[in-house]
Amino acid sequence: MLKKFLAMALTVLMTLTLAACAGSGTSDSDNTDTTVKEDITLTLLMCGDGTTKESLDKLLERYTEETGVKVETLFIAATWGDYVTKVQTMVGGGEDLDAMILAIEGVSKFLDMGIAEPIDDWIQENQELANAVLDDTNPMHQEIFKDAEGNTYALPFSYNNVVMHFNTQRLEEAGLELPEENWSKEEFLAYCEALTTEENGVKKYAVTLPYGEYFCLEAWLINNNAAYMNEDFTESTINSPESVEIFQLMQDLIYKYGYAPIPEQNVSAIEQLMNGQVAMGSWGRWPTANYIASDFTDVAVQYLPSFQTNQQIFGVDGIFVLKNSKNIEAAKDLAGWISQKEFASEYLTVGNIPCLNTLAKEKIDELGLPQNAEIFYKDALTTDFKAVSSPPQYAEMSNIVLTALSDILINQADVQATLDDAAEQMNTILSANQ
Amino acid sequence: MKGQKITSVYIKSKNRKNNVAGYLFLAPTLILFIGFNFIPIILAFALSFTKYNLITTPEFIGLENIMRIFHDSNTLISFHNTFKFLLILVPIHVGLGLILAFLVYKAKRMQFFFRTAIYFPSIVTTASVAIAWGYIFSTDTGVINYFVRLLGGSNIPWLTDQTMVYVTIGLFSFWKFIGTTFLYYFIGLQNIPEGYYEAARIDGSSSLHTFFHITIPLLSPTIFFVMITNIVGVFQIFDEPYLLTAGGPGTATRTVALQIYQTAFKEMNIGYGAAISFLLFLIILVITLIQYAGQNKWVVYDYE
Repeated sequence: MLKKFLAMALTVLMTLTLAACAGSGTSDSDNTDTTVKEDITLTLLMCGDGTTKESLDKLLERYTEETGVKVETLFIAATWGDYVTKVQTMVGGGEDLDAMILAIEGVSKFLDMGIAEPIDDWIQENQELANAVLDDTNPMHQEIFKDAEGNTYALPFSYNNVVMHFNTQRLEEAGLELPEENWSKEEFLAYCEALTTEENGVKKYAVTLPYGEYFCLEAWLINNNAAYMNEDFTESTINSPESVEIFQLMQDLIYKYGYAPIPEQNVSAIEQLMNGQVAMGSWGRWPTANYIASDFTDVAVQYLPSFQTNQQIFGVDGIFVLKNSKNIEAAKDLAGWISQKEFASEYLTVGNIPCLNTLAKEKIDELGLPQNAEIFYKDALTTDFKAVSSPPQYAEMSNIVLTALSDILINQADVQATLDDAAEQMNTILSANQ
Repeated sequence: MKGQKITSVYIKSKNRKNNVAGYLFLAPTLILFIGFNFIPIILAFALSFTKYNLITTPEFIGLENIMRIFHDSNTLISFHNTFKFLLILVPIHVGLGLILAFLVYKAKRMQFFFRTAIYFPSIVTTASVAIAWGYIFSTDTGVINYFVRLLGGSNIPWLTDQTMVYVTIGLFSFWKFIGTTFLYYFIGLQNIPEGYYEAARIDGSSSLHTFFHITIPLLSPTIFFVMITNIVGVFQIFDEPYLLTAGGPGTATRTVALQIYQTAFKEMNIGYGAAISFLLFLIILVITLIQYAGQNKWVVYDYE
């Protein structure tokens, strides 16, 4: 009796499995031309902790009303580097993804692996929509999303530069004004001296260093005419004299001058700026979300000190279409729709800077926080921007750079020797790009 | 004769039924073991000989990944750090866990309170308490150093000195994970028949003598189990360094598990990550086999 029952159960199970396989085969063979738009549900992957999911979903409901295409959003709370890794795992695992936001950190890697789908045909067919974005964004931002053959993979959506954030209450207490835009290293050190104080045995520091922050750290190097690597990512330049000078300065800010706290893993530097434990910190526009959430308004921004020059770094993101999407054309339409001013103006209220220059000005002025916020968009159309170093081996590079930084800032390791070692490790990996 | 044959067939049939029942009971564990342990081990071994990033097809590269382990300073450092953790954390858990369990077992009052207090941290999410510990032990702004300064001392670099960080992680690991070890020991102590202690008391044995000559030998199977699981656990240590220090400062607390995570899941160098993990598996296997071989000399199973 039991045997009969088991045999029957197995037969039913096998039949169902076969039916399921057959079903999936049919769906695979479907192409977008025969699929009714109402039946399409796209999966859009975003990087973030999901605090904007509600507003994003509401905006995308409008897209569904307009086109009939449904969009499911999935947020991954991670740094850009970890986000890229997670997406790679999902694609490798065969998950159905259609479109995703991707920042510069992952672009070379994705293009290298052939995961992304070019959108040149969409641009050709939707010239009015495409030009609305291309005519109003920095050509340097656009270049990031092109491969060596000139194929375009995304339209610029939002970006960040790196500026110095000031706790204006701390400035006031020290009798200081916001520095001029081309403030020198000497002026920076004078500010540090004035902003380092001690009250009831508790030390208040002048500046927090970009610990664990690959993007922000390179902004300091760039203002001293240095970078992690050369422009074609074939050789490390992290041990150049200009780079060594900045790393040495950072070490001295902690141990020689006592102007900066020893950075630590779980201590939020943005929190430290808001509660006045430090007076300055270097970030992009993203802390504005923290400022607003904490009703913190005593904040101003200025360019980083011009150690040798005042050159802006940038990191940019865009909406990419994945090659393995089953609804490629619909995914391209969605990516194009998201890149338009109507969507961006409602979604990019705080945090990143909209890539659309007219919109950036509008939104940043409208928010009015931090003081001097116009430096976020003032140079938006300059071609003197420098992109953060993002080779296909971004994960390996950031690990080497940030380990070296940790050794220098925490273990007080010899700067030149540490950077020589880092350069050697980087060169071994970068040799693949030659 | 005929009767014997019938009995024999009956016994065989009964044995077979018992065997089937046994295998059925074993099946869920066996399926899980094969699916989530055995097959991944075989796959890790196979992937060790490939270059693979999850997207493109694995490319066979022979022994390149294995050879790389012995030339990669970061991987060698991670093994070195893991052995340091082994020397620090295993005695803490095996030794202090036993002392704590014994003291609580002997406590006449508030035993429930102590049991709860010691076990409670084990059920709290490691990530959340690690963040709290990060703030508490912060060099410049942490509450511990605030009291140190109040007492006239200077800041202790709890998480920012490459030696001191081991003390901090040791303290964290003790507080967070001792509950599990404590529980094993506590149950082990409860299982020791009271008669042995009565006999010792009648013979006039001192507390210390009783502890070393009755408690420890009769608890030896538990000690052996705790030792094995702790050594395996520490070889795979990930949570504490990842959450408290991210392997830093520099590479001071980068362990093998962190190195595998970095290599395989951040750099997507799956082949090399698999090679490191397979080497770690072999090391754990050899050490565990040595422990099993040596247990006959000190573990007492037959005391009833």
